[in-house]
Amino acid sequence: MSFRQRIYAGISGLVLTLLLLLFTTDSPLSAISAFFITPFSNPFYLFGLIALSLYLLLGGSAIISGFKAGGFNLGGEGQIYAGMFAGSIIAQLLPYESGYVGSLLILLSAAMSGAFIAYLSALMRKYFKVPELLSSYLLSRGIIIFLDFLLSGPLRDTASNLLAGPKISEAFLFDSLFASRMHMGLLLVPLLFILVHRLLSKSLWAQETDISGENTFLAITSGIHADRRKIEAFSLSGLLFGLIGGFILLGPMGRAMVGSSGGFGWSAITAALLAGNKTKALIPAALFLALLEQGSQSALVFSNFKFEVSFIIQGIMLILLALPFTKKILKRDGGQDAL
Amino acid sequence: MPFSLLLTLLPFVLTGIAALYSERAGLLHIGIEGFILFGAFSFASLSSMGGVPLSLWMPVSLFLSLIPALVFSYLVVYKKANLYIMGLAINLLAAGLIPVLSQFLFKTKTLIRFTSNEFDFYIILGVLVLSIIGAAFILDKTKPGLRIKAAGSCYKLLSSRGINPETYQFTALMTASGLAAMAGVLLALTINAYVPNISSGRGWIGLVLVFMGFRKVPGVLLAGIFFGVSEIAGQYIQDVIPPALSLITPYLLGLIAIIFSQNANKSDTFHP
Repeated sequence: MSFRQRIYAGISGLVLTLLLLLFTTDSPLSAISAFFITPFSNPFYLFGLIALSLYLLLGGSAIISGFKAGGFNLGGEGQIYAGMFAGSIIAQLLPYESGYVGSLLILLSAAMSGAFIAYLSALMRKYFKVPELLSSYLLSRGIIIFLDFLLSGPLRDTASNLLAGPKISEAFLFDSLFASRMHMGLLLVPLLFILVHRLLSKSLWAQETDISGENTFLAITSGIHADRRKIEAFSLSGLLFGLIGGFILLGPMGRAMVGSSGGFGWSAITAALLAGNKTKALIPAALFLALLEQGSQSALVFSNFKFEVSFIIQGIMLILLALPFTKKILKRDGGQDAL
Repeated sequence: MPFSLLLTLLPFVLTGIAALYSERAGLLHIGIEGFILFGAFSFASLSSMGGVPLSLWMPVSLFLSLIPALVFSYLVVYKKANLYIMGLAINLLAAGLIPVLSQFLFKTKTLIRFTSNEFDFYIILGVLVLSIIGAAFILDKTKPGLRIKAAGSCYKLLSSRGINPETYQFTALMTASGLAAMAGVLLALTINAYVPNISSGRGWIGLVLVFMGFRKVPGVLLAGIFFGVSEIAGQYIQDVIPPALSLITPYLLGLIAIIFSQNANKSDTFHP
């Protein structure tokens, strides 16, 4: 996808936002101010914006990893949720004295559960030729329904009024900044992102995975274990989504809640496409999308802006990103589209 | 009971046939969910205005639903837009546009009610049943149906015979979107209302039905009937099995079906 196309998509998103703010709100000026200025002037929204962009960095990397494997990970929501759930289970089993070591173990368990679910999709592709696009989505939906049942039923914390599991020990939770969703644990994300960026862009593994996803025959004749690379890349995708669930759990919420995956599974797709499948470009892409979402939330509070408008903006941007050039970067495996 | 069974299974059958049209043309339409919502919302919105029989509002609502379908199909087939991203975009647009329009027109984002009478109900139901039969027949037993299949599996052969495969792919996507919108109309008609998330994943289940039915029309029809029966049965066994767990069944069955159908064909015939 050309850089120009991505810029057009971004600019179109901004222009559309402005138009919608002008024509769908009672007081356009205050809505515009709430959308574009409040996220930077109010610490709660500013740190919320930073948190969102960090989550989208991870999510966008997850989608890019899936693309490298020649597949489309549509199961992000379920993998995030599973990560959150697995993390909360481990948290109940760990002694609170383990402190931040416990937090790391929780994150690890969240990552592993996300990776496992994606691994299942990758295996289905390898052994049964089931496209990851479908298997990841179906697994995700099934997991979400099952975990919703558990968290609103047998595993629900009856002491609270929430449809959620029990709160995990405060010893594991990271301090929140200005009561926003940004917490100290998220400071790990930039470090993780650097590692992931190197892995997905600069490493020998990345090259082998690219070749495996692009042309399996060439990979095999070059001595690359193509299937293994594809499985690894798709599992990495799930791992990163699971990590998002872990970080959400260790924030202000402190518990696995019904419907708390935050829609990152879908926003991550937009982020990855806006970044043109390049991890470095995820930084501005994630910030831009985070601004759209955070701006929508503050406009919702300070004016009568409708939150659903952000879906319209994302939808239009996706259409622009879907146009011809996208096909080139997503075409994989010897003429057979991975998507 | 038989009538409620019919009303339950018909949306599954419609979405299954819709997904089959697209799959036969070599394009897996993941935006079916969005078109169900468009169909349901447009029908409920028009019907709530009253003054005109519902059976006349139905073709109007289908026409309105086909406008985004036209843009979608054109961009995918003729401008080579990525089908999956476009499908996701349609689903997102439906999730965004409908509440905004609903708030603007009806000052509510939740329930849009309308009244219907038996005559209109049966007329619309009859039209939908005939549409299913007609669509299934065309896909399986006629030359256009064969060409749709050829557009998906032997694109170059079709063009070498002077037939434009894109025309058939476009037609297949439009038909799929139209059938999905019809499913939405039926869902709204069944409860005399539009409610958010009225589709409840039926668009994705339609894709599952294609694989459960081994990509054949009779198979998809049977799979749709099976899902309808399962949903009805689920309502009767709620005391034994939690409702949430019965909701997982379509997705679990879908995965199993896809696994078996892919292996049954013994070749990588699925070309997303």
